[in-house]
Amino acid sequence: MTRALFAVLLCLNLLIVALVLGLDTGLPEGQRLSRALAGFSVGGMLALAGVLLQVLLRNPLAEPFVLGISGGATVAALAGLMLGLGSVWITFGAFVASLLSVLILFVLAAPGGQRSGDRVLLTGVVLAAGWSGVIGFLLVLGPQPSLPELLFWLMGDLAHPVSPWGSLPVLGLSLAAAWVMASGLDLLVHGDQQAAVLGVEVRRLRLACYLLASLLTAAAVTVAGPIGFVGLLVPQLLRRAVGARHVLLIPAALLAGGALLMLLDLTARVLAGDNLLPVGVVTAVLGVPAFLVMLRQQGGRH
Amino acid sequence: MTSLQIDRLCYGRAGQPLNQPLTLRANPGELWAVLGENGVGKSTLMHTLAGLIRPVAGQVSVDGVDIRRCPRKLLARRLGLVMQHSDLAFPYSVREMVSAGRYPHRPPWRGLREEDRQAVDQALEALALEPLAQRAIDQLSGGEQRRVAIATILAQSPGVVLMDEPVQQLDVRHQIRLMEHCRQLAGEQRLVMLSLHDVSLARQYADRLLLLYPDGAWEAGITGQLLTPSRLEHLYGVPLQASGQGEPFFRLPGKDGK
Repeated sequence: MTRALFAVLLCLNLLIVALVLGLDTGLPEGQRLSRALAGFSVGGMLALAGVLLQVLLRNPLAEPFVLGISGGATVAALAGLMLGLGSVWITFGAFVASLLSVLILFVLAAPGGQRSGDRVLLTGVVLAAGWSGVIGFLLVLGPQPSLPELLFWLMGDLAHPVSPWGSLPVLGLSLAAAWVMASGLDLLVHGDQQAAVLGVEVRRLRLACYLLASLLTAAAVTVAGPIGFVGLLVPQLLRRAVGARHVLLIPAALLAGGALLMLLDLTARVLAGDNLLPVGVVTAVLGVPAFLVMLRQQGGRH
Repeated sequence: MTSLQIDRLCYGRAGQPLNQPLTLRANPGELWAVLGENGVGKSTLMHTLAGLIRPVAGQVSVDGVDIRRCPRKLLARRLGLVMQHSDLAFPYSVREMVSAGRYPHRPPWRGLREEDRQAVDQALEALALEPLAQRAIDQLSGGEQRRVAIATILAQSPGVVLMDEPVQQLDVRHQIRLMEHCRQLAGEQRLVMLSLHDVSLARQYADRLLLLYPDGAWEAGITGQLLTPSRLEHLYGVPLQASGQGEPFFRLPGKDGK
């Protein structure tokens, strides 16, 4: 069952890459590979960030976009883009801003690492609104060398002002780190004290989880802007297929997130043709109803 | 074969001690019941003994090692705690939950080894959880979830087993099964310490008692010597007496005209 699922996910990825490379959707052939790569790595990073944030905040609805973490990273990355910084510095700035966003969430909504209910979601949504206000400021006040391109990036687009190749090492290292932490994460979701009693060094693991989720969000935002709901949908659906154990969930989420985003981007280009539909718009159209359904289901359980 | 040494321990939350300094030694093979009224600090004591709360003063040692100096994983092989509540936000199966008890025994990057699987199987069997093994934990009743928590500590198999009000939410049959299980654990030369509200169960199963009085005083000793009506009245603020010579049950006196 599990092996079959991984085989399906791998084949799906290969198939979609082949389609991106082979189909003529108005993209020059030379750009198709890096487009596929951007889709795969951003989708994988967002799904992985979602898994980690859900453990960290002990809330199955946690996700970088909904919680305003992508928003914070976007502000920093946008400032970096406007100043013409290199992608490493942009990612670093976005990383710091992601760390700050998660910290705000903890201080305001989940003090002491206890289980966070709807309050953390509410705090995150407000935080996201705040960050988008700051983005408006930057757009109006900042220099405007390539505004249309920035606007697409702000909606979540893979036409990358920043090359996606730099995100590969981030993706690979994060996968390795998250996978080593997997069995500890399985305990951490049941509460800090429960995990500690079973032998987990809780503070160290939480810190690693926090840094990793922030780094993944920052790297994803740097490449593709804020793309929502991949980090929510992928882990939620996979828990039903492979179960909740992180040893399987983590690699499966990475593969499924990558496939999903490549596929949605391809669909957007096939559907919209020359109108250039940003993939972030597609994930929002699909993700918002799904989020609302899950919120309702979760509400019914408590 | 693990012993627990409590040395001039004051426990409490936010730096406020709840008790007069507590010193006692609990040995392998003993079954301790901790009795005291609501709010007297039974849970706080249990959490302090498990190293989850910093003591206000004094120290707790397991096999002569101060638990605050012991790495978590090492401690978890020697000492475990069943808590009153656990957080169940994600759909783990019963078997996966119980397997969590093997975490301190294996390297984190490896899956369950054969010995881990055997320990998990035995724990599931001991609590009659095999029929539920594949069920999602969040779909079980409160009593079933408690049995899963207890099976987890059996799989963890520490020398010191602490349980914070383990019979809460269990029906009478499962209460008795649990207490017999605790006896069996003590018979395997483990040290078992439970906090209880049920004086009758304590009298029937525990060989040692720790009484935590509302004024912060405490007494520890052999069950038969400590369970006197005057002590119970001090403990709970209501008069209690045994329902008959050698009977395990306690009741308020005088209700049936005697």
